[in-house]
Amino acid sequence: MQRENPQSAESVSPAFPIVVSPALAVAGRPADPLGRPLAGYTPPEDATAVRLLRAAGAEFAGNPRAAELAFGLVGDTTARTLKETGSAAALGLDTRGEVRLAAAAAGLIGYRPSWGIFSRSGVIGLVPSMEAIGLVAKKVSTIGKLAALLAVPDPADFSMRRDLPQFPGPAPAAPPRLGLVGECRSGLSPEESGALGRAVGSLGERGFAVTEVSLPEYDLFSLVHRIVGPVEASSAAGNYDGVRFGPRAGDAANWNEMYLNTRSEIFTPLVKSYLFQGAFFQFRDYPAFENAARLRRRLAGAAGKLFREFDFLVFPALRPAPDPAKAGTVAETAAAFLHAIPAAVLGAPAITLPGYAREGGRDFGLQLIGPPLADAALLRFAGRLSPADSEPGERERQ
Amino acid sequence: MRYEAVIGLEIHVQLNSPTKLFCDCPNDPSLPPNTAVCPVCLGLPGALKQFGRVPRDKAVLSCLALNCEVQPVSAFDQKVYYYPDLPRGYQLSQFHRPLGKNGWLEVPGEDGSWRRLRIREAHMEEDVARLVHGTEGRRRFSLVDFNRAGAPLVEIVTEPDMRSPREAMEFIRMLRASLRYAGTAECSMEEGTLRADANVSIRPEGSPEFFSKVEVKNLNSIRHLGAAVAYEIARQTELVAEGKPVTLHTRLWDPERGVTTPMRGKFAGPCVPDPSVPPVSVSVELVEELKNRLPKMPAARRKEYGRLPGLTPEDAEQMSSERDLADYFETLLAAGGPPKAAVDWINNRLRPLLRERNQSPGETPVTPERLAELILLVEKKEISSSAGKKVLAQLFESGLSPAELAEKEGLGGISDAETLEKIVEAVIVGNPDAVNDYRGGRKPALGFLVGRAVQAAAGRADPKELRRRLEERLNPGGKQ
Repeated sequence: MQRENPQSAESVSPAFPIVVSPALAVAGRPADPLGRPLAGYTPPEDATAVRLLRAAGAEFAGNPRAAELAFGLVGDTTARTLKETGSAAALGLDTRGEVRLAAAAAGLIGYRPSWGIFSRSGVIGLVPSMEAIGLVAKKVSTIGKLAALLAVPDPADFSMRRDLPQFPGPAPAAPPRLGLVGECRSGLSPEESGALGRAVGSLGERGFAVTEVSLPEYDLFSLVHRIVGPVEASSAAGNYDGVRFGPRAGDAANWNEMYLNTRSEIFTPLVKSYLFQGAFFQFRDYPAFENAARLRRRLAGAAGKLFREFDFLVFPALRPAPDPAKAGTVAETAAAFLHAIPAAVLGAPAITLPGYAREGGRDFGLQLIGPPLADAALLRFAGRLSPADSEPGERERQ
Repeated sequence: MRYEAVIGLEIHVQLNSPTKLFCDCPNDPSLPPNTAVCPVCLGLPGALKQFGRVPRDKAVLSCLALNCEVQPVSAFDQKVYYYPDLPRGYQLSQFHRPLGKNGWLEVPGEDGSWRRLRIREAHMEEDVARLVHGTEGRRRFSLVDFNRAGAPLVEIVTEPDMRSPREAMEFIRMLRASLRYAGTAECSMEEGTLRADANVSIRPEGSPEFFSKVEVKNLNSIRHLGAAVAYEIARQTELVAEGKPVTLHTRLWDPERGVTTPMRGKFAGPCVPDPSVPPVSVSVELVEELKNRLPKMPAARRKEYGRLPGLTPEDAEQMSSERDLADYFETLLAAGGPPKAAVDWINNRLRPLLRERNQSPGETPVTPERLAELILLVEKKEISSSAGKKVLAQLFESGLSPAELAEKEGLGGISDAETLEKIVEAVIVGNPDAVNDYRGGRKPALGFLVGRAVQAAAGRADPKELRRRLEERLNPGGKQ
């Protein structure tokens, strides 16, 4: 039997409107906004997260669209819908940083939990080992309440962690130690450098000094994602074949031709090229995938060492170019999500906050990453930094 | 140059778990098409696999029955290939980290000696859907039944240890018996719950190297397996003798023509770890608990039965082939039944009656203890063999003991000399022609007279005893 988090239903205000990305199944709501592969498909069951929210009395607002198969942010309107509908929060899918960067672009807070603490049952994505349901909200406190509701065991997701964090976590005994990976400065535009400098300065002014540290293999995060991501996607998209759901190619001479024609017709060039890359590593260069998986473990080890010295790491979020909302090729998306990718590779919790990294009239967003399962501590710290959470009366309610 | 065959088998066994491997759908492909399905086994977007404990335990038990070392941690990989029978575009299989390794089964050779054949690994796998192709007028169509999709399988891969078609057939028989004993699988090749492919190659006798192997598929019975392997050995031997190369490829057995024919190249897709299915852990405690559930296995029983007085190797095989039959046989022996008579009674009299009533040895009211009592009544000549047969039939309906039934039905044997002599006298007097024939040298006439005597005794006298007395009377000088 499923164990509901005892602190959830009672502590969350029941009837608040929430925007749910089409990447999360809502029973009876057509999944067409996820693109042609899902045209005409209506999920028969709610995603677990949706079910938990329903049970807590949440109402679902708006009809947001998403990128094809929630890959990237082209066409994604989740954060915009949140604003337009005056909703309290939005749920989306964060595979490479989509939720965090969409929130940053909209001046909102974007949170990606540790991998495996929210059930992925009913999540329609492409990269299972790197995707997590992310939350967008105006306040960290809202995110904290939702996290408490969603971080519960789910028998439908065999891959969930058993050691789920409890929200809110205990108050820290000492101010958090913050680190900044120096290697992430490489390749930053003057504008981005300026924004990052301002963020570090603001943190210092608030009494949170940031120490620059080194992670020599920082570049490998992107490389690992560019190999492991498409390989998993190539498998995960294997069910789009026109046999059980979705559009089916017509005029085929036999089942084999129908199958192949369907798969060649339903994907846009962006997703198709991503899948081709995955198939290349699967079928032609499997050792590269094995090496990438090995590198991923090495990166986790290297990051783990840093997290023994620092509670959270500071990273840039949005980049001036390419704009993630317009990145139309695999290479462009990799560049646009560059600094959001490490959290996905590590399965670590991360949050973007507005207001800290402004430069040239633009807010690039400040990103904080914590070690896996340090979600409660990360949200508690983010709450202290969030201006919206510091409004009169808000701090008392947290 | 003389060549020897090198044969390995890849066997898929469908576990008889009540549910599928990654969902709670019934594991029953016989249900109406597409009724045992859910979002998980249909591979609908967002549905996650949920690994079931029951199929896992059945798989572990299967490994133990095959003497495999159960690995504390095993893992599922995605075997990627694109086909409409595969709802997710990949099949979950334990490619890199199998559940069981280094197993073996012993099989008897033609000379009665036993040979240990090694099993490289036994791993869990999910089954694919069933495709049905048809035509409607000029229109061709294909239908997919997903009831079978996700059914739990164990794939057993042997080392290339078999040297003859007979050995390959014996291996399958022993594997089938072992898994049926363990209660984990039905193993019917005809019904597709056991599917075997054979890898066949040849090599110069005594050489450690062998020529390229050929995989033979479509083997729907043990007989077909033997025939296909024999054909393939002959075909390859002929090729080599002609100086032609044997190439690595897959062939299909054509049972109608009795030949193997090449099929399209086998597509071997990659195997990548599945991120949504964590490794499978099996604790030492679970292994011990499951080990304790295993009964004495068929090979051990078959060896034991082969040493019983009067039993042929065929008797031993037959009595050990099914667990409930072997249990029945052993209980019958423990109750005092003589081994050879027990085999004869079980095979020739009991089993036909069980078949008629659709009963198994484990559930019949004719318990082994009751049958043992009946056999002993006959062996001690307290009732005749034919009376025993009548009593046996009544044991299905009555709660009385065999002796009580014989008494009640008046089937007690006529064994007193005076009565027997009277019967013999009457038969001799009443059949003068046959008596004359016999005395004139026509020996078969004695059979006629014995028959008349048995009839006169209403089946209650031992025919052998009647024959002896008739011979004595007709040949006063001694047996001719």
